[in-house]
Amino acid sequence: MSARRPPLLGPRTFLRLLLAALLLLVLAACGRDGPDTDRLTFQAFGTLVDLTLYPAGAHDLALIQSELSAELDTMHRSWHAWEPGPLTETNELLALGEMFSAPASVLSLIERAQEMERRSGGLFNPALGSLVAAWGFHEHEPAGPPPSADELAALLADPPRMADIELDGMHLRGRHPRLQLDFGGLAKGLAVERSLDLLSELGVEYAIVNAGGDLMTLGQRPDRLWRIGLRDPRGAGVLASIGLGAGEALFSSGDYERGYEWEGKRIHHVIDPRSGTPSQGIASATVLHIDPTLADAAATTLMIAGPEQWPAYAQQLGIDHALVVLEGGSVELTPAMQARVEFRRNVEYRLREPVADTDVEPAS
Amino acid sequence: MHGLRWGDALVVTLALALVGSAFGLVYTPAGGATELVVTQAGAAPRHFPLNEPRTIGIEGAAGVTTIRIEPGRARCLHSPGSQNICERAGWLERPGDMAVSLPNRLVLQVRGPGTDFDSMHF
Amino acid sequence: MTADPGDYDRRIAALAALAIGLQVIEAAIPSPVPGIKPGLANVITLVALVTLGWRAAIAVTLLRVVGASLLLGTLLSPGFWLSLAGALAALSILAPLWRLYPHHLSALGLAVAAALAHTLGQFLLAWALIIPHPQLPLLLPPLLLAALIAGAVTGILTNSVLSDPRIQRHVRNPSTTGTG
Repeated sequence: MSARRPPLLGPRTFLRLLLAALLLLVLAACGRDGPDTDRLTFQAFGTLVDLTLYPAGAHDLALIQSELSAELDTMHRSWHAWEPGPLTETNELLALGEMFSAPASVLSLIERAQEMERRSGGLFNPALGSLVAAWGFHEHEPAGPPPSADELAALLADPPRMADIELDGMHLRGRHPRLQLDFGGLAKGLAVERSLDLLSELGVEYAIVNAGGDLMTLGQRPDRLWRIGLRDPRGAGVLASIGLGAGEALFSSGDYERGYEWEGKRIHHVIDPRSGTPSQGIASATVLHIDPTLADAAATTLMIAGPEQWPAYAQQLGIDHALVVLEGGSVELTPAMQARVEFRRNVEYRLREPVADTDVEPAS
Repeated sequence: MHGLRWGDALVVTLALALVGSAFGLVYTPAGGATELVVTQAGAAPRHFPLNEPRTIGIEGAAGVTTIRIEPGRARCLHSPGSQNICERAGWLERPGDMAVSLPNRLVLQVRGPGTDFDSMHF
Repeated sequence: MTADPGDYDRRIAALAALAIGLQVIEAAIPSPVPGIKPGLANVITLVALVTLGWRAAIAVTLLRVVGASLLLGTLLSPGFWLSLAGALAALSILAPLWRLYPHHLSALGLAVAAALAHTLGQFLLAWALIIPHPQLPLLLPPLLLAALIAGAVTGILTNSVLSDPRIQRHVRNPSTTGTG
């Protein structure tokens, strides 16, 4: 009988190494999901702010929380639509029609708002604070009664617009007596942007600032994209997930945020300046963009635009990535958004290409 | 059956254990949620396993948020606030499902094994 | 037992041919994850292992993987790498277990272990490199179950085949003590 002795460093050793490698692969796959981020939740800017920091344990959380909430609260006070502060003072001075020196905190918002009003063809109009107030939203707990038909007619007869503000360097002059600024659809975007700047100054490289659901990323964690869950506006479940890179903002406008019931109807805070009543047709509009203020304003604009025309307004605002949930529950989104989003459940959706429409009011 | 040895029994038992645990791990019961995480502004997150049925209360600035826990799911039973947003969220059973109580400044979210989100957009 | 080298090579070739045939047939069976198969051809690896030894088993297995992929036209495709991953994983598990044969382990134990290792190895490669889908692990339990059943069936069959006295002559370490 011949003796065939395998060499010492033969296939056996090689295969044992392979087995070890396989085991390591399995272990690596198992150890993948653990809390590798720090999460801070605190009240600021009138909402719940959720901060995600990467990597875990690398930052002074107490310092970051105190600095960030102080900054956010300052902005909240400065831009508060009805509580006494820089914005209410500005509104009073604008109503007088005289040139005055504007508080710096309000100037940047006014500039952005004027730009957004132009680009949205007037659909986005923060100068209509009086209309929002008429519907009862300038209270902590908004309530009816809604404005009467006469009141609405009076308000809409000669609507104030952002263009009615004369801006000259640091000076403002209002040209409409009923002009009242309410930056509800814009302020959060700017606040989030400023928050990221603050975090950068504090030495944070990778984070997500989430103010009441509207969020923006600072940098991208080196190992993968940020995983963001999109919640179903009508229920509790996760509708979809989206992977975000560095410096991307995800903002929504919805009918579930602030509102009240009046005689069986849901009254929400996104008022259509054309009709003077809460917008209809869209339950929530979500926009993804690198400019958070634009994303914030665009989300409001798309919601007002309604189920037929939202793609046209998206195109006009330069928005490629948008997702809209209609009041009936169906989902519509742009092709670019569909490529980014991964639906978690069996969702029927309809693709809408952002295209210009001749029915849309021209950007003035 | 020819010539079975004790080693065979061992291998087959281990194999069955492997396959069984694969099923158990991958197909987690009742939609997959295994714990409830309550995040409250200014407090450390609290974890509650979703095992035995019980009712818990979380104190907040506006009152008490009552939460009902059952195997694999949780819901906001009652929470202060006129809009009942928290209650209307219903049963939270899929990992990632959440409910919010703004008056009490808290977020309820159920989590399970598998992909965790870095942040939730709502 | 003959020591004729030519005879040895002929046996390897014959076993390899059988293994290739089995793998090609198995390619026709649909699988939830394309490319992941129960690994029926592993039984030939086992037979080569017990009748001709470890190096023969490696030779037959590698010949099978390459040969089958040449016949199926899948050389260097993802399917080829999956097949190779499965084969190498099976061989890896057989390396330590092989010593326990035949006194502590019969072909059943070897076959079940090899089949599970084969499927696990294929799945890990598929998940790590080819389809890193987060939901892919949902398919793993049924794949493992199929491998377990296939391994058990082929193991029992192999036991029957190997206990046939005509085959026993060729077995390296006969299960009965004494003359082979």
